[in-house]
Amino acid sequence: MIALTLTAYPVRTALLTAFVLTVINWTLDPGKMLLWGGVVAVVAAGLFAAFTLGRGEGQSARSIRASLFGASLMISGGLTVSIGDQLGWLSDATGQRLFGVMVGLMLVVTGNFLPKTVRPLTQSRCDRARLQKIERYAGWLLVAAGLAHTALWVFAPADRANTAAMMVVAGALFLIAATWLVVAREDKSRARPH
Amino acid sequence: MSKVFKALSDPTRRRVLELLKAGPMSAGELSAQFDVSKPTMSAHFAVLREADLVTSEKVGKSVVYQLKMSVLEDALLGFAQAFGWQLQDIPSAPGPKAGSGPDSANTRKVSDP
Repeated sequence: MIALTLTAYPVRTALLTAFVLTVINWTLDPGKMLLWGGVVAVVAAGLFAAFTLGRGEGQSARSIRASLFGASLMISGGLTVSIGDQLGWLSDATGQRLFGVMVGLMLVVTGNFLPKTVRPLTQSRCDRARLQKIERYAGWLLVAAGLAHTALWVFAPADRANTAAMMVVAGALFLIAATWLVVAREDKSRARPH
Repeated sequence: MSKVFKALSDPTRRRVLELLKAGPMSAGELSAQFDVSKPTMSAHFAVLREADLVTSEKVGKSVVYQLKMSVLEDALLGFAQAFGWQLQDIPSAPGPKAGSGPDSANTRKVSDP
C-alpha cells in the first residue's frame, strides 16, 4: 500500500534526514570514521537511486521508492538512537529497547508485504496455489512474531526481553523453514517419475 | 488505501478474493461462481486490479487472476466479511440495485446489522 501512494518527495526527505543524522553522528564520534563513511556512502547511493531510478510512475519505480523509504526510515531510527546514546539522553536499556522495537516493526512490515510479492504464472514452475498459501502463512507468522517481538521489548523486563524476543522470532522462522522444506520435498517426490 | 476500502466494500468482490485464496483462477472460472453478467464481473475485476489486490495474466486464451493481498489487506477483508461492510443505494436516488453493479454512482457506505 505504501508503494501505491508514495511520491518521490517523502523518499528524498527521508534520505536527506538520514544523511544529516549520519553527519551529526560522525561529528559526535569522529573516531568511527570508517563506520560513518560507510553509512554516508549507503545513504548517498540511496539518494542517487531516488533522484534517478525512482523518478517514474511505473510499478518498478514505485517499488524502488517504497524500498528506499523503508530503508531510510530504518537507518534514521538507528542513527537517532545512536545520537541519543552519545549525548546521554538515553540509558543503555532504553536504547536497547528502542532498537528491539525497531527490529520488531521491521519484521511486521516485511511479513505484511511478503504475500504481495507475486511472480508471473508463466515464470513459475511450482504449484502456484500451494506457494500462495505458504507465502500467506509465512506473512501472517512474521507479522505475529514481529508484534510479539515489539511487545516484549516494550513490556518485558530488560534482562529477559532479548531472550524471549529471540525465541519468538527463531520459532517463527523455524516454522516457516520447516513448512517450506516439507512442501519442497512433496513437490520433488511428486515430480519424480514412478 | 481508499481504493482498497472501496474494493472490499462489495460482497461480490470479497467473494472473488475468498475464491482466489484457494489459488489462481481464470476469469471464466470465477464468473461461473456468480449470477451476474460478464461486463459486471469485468468491472469488479477492474476495481480489484486497481486496488492492487489481484493481478491478472494472460495464459493461453484465458485471463488468470491471482491474489495479491498483504497481511493487513487480508485482515481488512476478514473484518469486512465479519461486519458486512457494503455499498447500498441512497433510498431516494434512482440507480441500479445494491450490489448489482461494481461501481454504482449513488452509493454510500453502511454496515450490515
